[in-house]
Amino acid sequence: MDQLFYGIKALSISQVIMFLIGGLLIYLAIKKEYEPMLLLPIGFGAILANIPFSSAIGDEGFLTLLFKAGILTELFPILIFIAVGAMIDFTPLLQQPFMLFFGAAAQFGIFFTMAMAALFGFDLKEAASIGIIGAADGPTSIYVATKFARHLLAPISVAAYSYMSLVPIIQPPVIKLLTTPAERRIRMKPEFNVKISKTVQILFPIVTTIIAGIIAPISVALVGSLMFGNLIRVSGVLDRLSKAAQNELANLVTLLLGITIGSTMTAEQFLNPSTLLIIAMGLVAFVFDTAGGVIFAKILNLFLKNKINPMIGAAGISAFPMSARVIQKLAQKEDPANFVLMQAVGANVAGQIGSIIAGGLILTLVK
Amino acid sequence: MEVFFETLKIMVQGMAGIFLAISLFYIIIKLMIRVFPEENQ
Repeated sequence: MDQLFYGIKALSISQVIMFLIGGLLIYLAIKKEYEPMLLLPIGFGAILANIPFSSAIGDEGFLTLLFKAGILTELFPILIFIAVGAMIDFTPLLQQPFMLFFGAAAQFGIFFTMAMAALFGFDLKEAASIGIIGAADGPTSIYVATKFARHLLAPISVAAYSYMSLVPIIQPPVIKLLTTPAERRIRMKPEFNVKISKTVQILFPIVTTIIAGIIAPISVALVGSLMFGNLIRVSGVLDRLSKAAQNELANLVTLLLGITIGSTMTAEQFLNPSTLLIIAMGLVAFVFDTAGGVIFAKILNLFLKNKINPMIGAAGISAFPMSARVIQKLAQKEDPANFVLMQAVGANVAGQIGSIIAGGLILTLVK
Repeated sequence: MEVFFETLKIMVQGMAGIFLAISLFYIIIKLMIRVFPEENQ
């Protein structure tokens, strides 16, 4: 009889709390549709990991095996990057390369949060891993956290994916605080008559990989896999592989990545004050990313003849395409005839490049 | 506090690094578009 109850007897309050947290993530995924592809598997993985004597974790548990094979080796984030690369259309960015600079400015939140985390007592590598939540890019956050602070992987991943889905709630108040209605009504000259040749589309991923690799060799895995996926897409001769990367590869790895990350959310690792701090600092990162982009655009406007709608700066984060949509919505709220979506998409795509460069630089600069 | 000051140094180097890389991408994109324009395809 004892054997039937030994699981119940071993159940602790903290494990029950983790069931509730797992349930909350599943609820947010299903009811609110907050990044359901990630939050649902993470939530269920958390439940699996907190059942007393769970055979899913431990030395021979399948989740532990997946963790060792896919996260510790950094294989899952890299495969996700190939899939993401195959999904990205860089054309809006190539048509208006100036938008690249917003993709740079909106990475400010990473470094600001890193400094804040250091003030709260985290060591340099932990602070860097927390700051990278501001990359607004799940795989980059996982990649950096795996290298620098494996023990913080679960809260960092949960924060990164949660805030990415909350971009429509986080960005508008920050933008409104930093801009005037007149600035939000600024109309921008469209630059979409520029036709991009096939040669440029093919050269772009190759050249980007070489430059980023030379500046930060450690970023080659990140940038290279993203650009490899994109090269497959634009080559025009690998349609089957491109579709497989966008669908089968993306779906399969996302499924395994989520549940594996969830399995690291054991009560003893997750339920501590630093988790709350990390989740709070993730919000700080997104707020200061947005602020960095908007303020940069406002500074540029001091010197430019054709003014930029400063909200475009906020689209320089990597959360694609949510951020671009948020900006367009805000612009049309101020002026229903204002159409800044394509500029915002350009900045948003630039944010995807900016975030992996930031990830590579963090890996290079933090010793 | 030592770690904090270290992060400030990384902030400056990191943002400078991003802008440097992005500036190179900008120049190269502009150059590629000029060298390989659509009508030549």
